[in-house]
Amino acid sequence: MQPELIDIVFRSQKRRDLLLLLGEEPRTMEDIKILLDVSPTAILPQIKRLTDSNLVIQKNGSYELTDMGEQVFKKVRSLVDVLTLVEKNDYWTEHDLGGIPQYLLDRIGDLKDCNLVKADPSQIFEPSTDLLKFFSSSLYLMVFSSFYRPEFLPLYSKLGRLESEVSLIFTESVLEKFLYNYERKIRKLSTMKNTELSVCKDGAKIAELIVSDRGMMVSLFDSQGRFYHEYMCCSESQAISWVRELFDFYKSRALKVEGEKSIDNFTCTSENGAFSESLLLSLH
Amino acid sequence: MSMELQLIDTIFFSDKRKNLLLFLKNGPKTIEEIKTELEVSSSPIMAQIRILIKDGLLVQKDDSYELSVKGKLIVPKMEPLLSTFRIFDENHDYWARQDLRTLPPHLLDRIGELGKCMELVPDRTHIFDYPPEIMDPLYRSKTVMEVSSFFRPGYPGLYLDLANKGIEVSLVLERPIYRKLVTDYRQEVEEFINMGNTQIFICDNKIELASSLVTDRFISISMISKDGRYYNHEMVSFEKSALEWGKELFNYYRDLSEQITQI
Repeated sequence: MQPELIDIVFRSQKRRDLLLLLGEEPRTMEDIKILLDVSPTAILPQIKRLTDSNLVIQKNGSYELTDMGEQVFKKVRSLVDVLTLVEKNDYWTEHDLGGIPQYLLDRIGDLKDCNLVKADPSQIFEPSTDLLKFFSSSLYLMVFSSFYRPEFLPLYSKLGRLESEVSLIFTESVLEKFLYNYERKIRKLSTMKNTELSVCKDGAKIAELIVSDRGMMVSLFDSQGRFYHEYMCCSESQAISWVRELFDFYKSRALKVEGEKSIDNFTCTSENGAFSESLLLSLH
Repeated sequence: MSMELQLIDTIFFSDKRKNLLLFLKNGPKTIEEIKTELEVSSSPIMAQIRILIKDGLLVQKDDSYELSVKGKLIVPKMEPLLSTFRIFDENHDYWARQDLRTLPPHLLDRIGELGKCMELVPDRTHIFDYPPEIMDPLYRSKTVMEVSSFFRPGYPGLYLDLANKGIEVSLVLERPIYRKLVTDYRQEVEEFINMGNTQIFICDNKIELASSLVTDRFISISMISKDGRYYNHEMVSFEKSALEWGKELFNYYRDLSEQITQI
């Protein structure tokens, strides 16, 4: 009688780590020793448990997963990613996830490597120089923002001139305010070949998203709609693709601001403060 | 290299907690509903509820309990894991021996949906037939769909007989099998094709499974082992999720095939 897989996989952290490690690619004993920081005498009995359970097989001097091991690995990976995400910090569970579509919530474990960045209280209303610096040499940049952050304008223009692809989505009030204060710059941006500007309705449940080849950042509101000047960020490729997909989700629901004419629509309404509803597609 | 993950103990190492989490996936439940569903009395389940609340997986709202935001992120990942583990645990040696890559990848990822399976091995005198345990449900089915890469002597007679009883029969066969059928049983094949409740599809791709028979009552699959050998067996499941899975398997091969309307 074989022991149950749940015990094989979860009763020992060493075995779990081993399974997750071999799920990436086959590894030699040398690799395992270094990557898991273990001695052969400590890990060999665990490898034996996994091979006895037909999850791992030794082939050409290295260890790899069997077909069954591969299936077990996939299920363990997706659960462990979510557990890691929620045990690392409470950011995701204490903020409003309502702005994230279900198919991306299902893969929220992809964000497990994100770290929380808290604002320095003395600089809470200062331009976020860390973010600016981080994204300054991006090959492409996508920004969704419910905030008016004029300090980012030079970055957009600079990347635009450097022929990086820049795609921006602002909520209507943010765009309005930008146009009020920086009309020429925004007009210029919207006519550049490699930049795109879109607008979505106010009330988006995402505070801010920035993603580039360098990394990603996400910030959300709490369930009361409050914003705490904190954000989650990392440079892992899984997280980058996740945020790009979320950005694409919002882009597909936003109205593209193209050419002078459509900008005029937004500038003239900004004076009397009201938007014609028909201009905007509904977000949901 | 990895985190310790306190929650693993909480979600897996108590059947009461595990079953409660899975039950609450369907929405908020009162303590009475929980007691009835899990067949437990108040005080033991309350002890587990308190642990789940303390670990932030459950919240109490009025007189019912529901998954917290954290619970709602975690529990949907437990289900596919547990169903996959269960199917492997129940027939460990079988699944370890078979070449699982013979299944289309998207269905292999959902292999847990086969649910409770049992392996049937025919006795020696009936070595080329379907085991008697599935002949009865087979004849009581309304639709029968089979994908096959090998030839059973019983094929022409059995399927003609099922079709004659008004059962809808659809077959996906690899081309060599179809040719053999036409060569050896031309008349039966012709009769079969001309019936209104039958379909034959010819597949030019390799069907890597030995066979898969799915009806509105059960699924029965037969696989090739890792060393490329085959012994006559049927892995059978009667669960609803398994029938859906089997239908998708049939459709997968049917979509790779062309329908034959005359010989």
